Amino acid sequence: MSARERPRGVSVARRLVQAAFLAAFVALAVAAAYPPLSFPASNVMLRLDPIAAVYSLISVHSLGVAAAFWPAWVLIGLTALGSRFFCGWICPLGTCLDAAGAVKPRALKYYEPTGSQVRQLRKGADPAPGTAKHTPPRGRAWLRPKYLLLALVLVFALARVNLLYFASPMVIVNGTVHYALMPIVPIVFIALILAAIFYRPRFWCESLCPSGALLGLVSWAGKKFPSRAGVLAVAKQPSACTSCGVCYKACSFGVEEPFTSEMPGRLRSLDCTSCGQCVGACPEGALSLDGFGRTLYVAGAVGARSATDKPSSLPGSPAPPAGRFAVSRREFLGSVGLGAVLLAGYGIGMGDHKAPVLRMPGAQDESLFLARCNRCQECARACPPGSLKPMGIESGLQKLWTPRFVPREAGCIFDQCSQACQRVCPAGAILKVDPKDTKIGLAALNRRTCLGWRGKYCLVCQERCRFDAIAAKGLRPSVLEDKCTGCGSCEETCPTNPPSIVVRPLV
Amino acid sequence: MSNPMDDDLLARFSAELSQKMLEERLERREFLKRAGKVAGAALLSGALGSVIGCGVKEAARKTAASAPASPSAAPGAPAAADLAVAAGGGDPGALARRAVDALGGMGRFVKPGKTVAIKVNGSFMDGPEAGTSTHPSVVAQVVAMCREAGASRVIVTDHTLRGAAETCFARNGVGAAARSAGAEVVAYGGSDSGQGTDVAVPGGTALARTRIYPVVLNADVLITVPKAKNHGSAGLSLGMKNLIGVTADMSNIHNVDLHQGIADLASLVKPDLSIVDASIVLTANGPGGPGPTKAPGIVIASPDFVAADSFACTLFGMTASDVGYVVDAGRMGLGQVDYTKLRVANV
Repeated sequence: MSARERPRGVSVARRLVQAAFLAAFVALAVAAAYPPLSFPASNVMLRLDPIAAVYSLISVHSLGVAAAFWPAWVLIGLTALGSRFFCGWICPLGTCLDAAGAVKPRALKYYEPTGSQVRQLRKGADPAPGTAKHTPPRGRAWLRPKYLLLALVLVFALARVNLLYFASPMVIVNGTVHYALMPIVPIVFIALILAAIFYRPRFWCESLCPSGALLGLVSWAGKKFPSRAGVLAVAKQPSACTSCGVCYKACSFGVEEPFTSEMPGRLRSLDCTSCGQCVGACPEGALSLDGFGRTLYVAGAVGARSATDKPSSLPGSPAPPAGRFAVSRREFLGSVGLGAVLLAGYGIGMGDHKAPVLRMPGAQDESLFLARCNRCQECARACPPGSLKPMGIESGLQKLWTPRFVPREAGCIFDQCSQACQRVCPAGAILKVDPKDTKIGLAALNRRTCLGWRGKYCLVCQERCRFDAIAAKGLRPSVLEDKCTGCGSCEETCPTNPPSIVVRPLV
Repeated sequence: MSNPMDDDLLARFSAELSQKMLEERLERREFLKRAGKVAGAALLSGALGSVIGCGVKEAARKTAASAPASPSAAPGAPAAADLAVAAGGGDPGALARRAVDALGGMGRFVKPGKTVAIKVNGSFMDGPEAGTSTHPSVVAQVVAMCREAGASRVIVTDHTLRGAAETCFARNGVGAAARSAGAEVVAYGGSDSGQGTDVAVPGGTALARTRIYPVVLNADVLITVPKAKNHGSAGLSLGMKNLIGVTADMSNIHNVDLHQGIADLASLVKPDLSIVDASIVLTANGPGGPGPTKAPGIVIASPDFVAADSFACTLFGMTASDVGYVVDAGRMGLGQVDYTKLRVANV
């Protein structure tokens, strides 16, 4: 596999760009810790998340929230000009996969098409003389459930069910950074994604990632434009191609087009991320990486191409055909149908989404919060005392990995932190609140276990309450419900175990 | 507040007594430092602690037998007081300085090159007018006096109670006052900060073990600088109650027995000097308020932290017998509950 060879040219450039974006992503995730960075906003990478942006447009019913994803809308606009370059150059998960692939033992080989499969491809692509048409190879089309998953996510979005925690690589990586810094949840999901490199270098990206599928579909629009419009594109000069198949084997995404295409000009595959691996591998210089129509890089016999040998940008050349889906209409409709069925099952069997859970201030409307929260864990990173912990499966799939306020871990200091969680949330899931008029929950005292009610000198709850909400009659505390904000300092510090005073969600 | 002590002989005797207690305390600090060092070997620390504890008692007895001289050894000079009460209001920091000067100056407790830990009450977010945290001016003066005495490091510390530790120290003004006077501020927060070195309490009858912050364990001198105020469960919060903030696992002491636990803790860390800030005091709904305050305009200083607390009780119309931990500490022989037996200086 060419990826095992010493990186050259475009490969080096791409690795540097990927490393820079990953470093920025991790640095910003770390910078979300209190006090969160305000410029550049620590959540700017999370607002570059295309599928989260589309989700917010469909489900959140707030233009303000959708507009906060403006970096993602810019990205989607650029992608619409031609290729899902985000996946090859920017995506932190893609970078992790590439890095994992680079350290993978050589003995463990990727799945690669056999020689006869490659010959088969070529045969199918070999057109009759005089025609520019080629048969779309079916190849591993069955390996592309990403479109089904994308459809699922979007259908669920219509029902305001947020599944981005498995659909968005940004959310997945941000959660992982958080979990790595505060080891509380097994990092099973990303481990599975990374483990798949033993099968294909970018198995997640080429076959499963709904976000990548979305970008691929968006790039379809731009395939009609001349290549000079595209930010990055791989272009082919078929006259120089010797059909050696190296490009096809080099592609992490299994795109056959650099190999099979007979069309001069840029590739039209929805899965081409313009990463340039094929360009770097081509010994003949038949492939080039173009930026806005200008050749940035050609490997092999440099100069074999002439500057004018770019028919797609020349007047009078045939219009390039639209990019093709690696999924049939039947598959697509089937996906939507299956999504609807799963949605019904999810809604029926997976717990009561209205059942109140103790959350941070500004998240007391449970159904609104569930619809908006992407489970990216940014708020948990930002919380100064560390009061927020991701929920498990116990309250249903719908609440999986949503941040729960756990007073026993640490009381909430909303009156002191200017709502750090709200400030870093990229999805508008946490509303701004007035610290003077905030109620998260209500403390309830268990007199049977309370030390004070058993005659001991304690009153730690009264000592700790910042809101003067614990009244003491002698040694016996009681909760003043009108003053209690549910901040949980009492539950955090109660000397008994389990605590004799606990904060309950408002009903 | 008249000084009932007129008998010179008795005064000299009590001065010797308090000096003896002071030296015993210094011995104890050595023990604590050693205990902190061995505590890394957690299995050993319990056994070692008790062995060294016995050693301390031997050393203390020897010290008592050698009958040390009064602190102000210069013949002809007036004997330094054992309990100084600076009254009359005004700047609380100036009161603190007057009181410590009456004890013979900070140099009596802080030798050049030593590390001093000052346990203030910085637990609450309100300013000095609320009577909940030690007055910043007192903190600044105590730090300055330690610096003048030649201390190499002065650390102001507390395990705060309400909200984030940094916020507490910022809003009550104690942090800025301490830093500008030349101290480091080490603030802990949360229910249990998770830090601290686990040590045995050899003389403890309620509190068997606790986790003490290394900044206190490793200090040569410990000064408790509380805010005198009402306290819901302890009755009053004074110099010994203030010591709970040198522990990381502060909830536990309420589980065992708060009053005896406080006395046990005091027997372990034995502050070398107690400076009780009673400039503005919270008289109800303590310790955090909000509540009514009054302004006695007094600062009390004494190496006998039991006597200092006992005297402070009178400012609230109470006596030492109303505050359990003062009674318990007196019973354990940690100090003189009847402060009238000491040489009291009103300055």
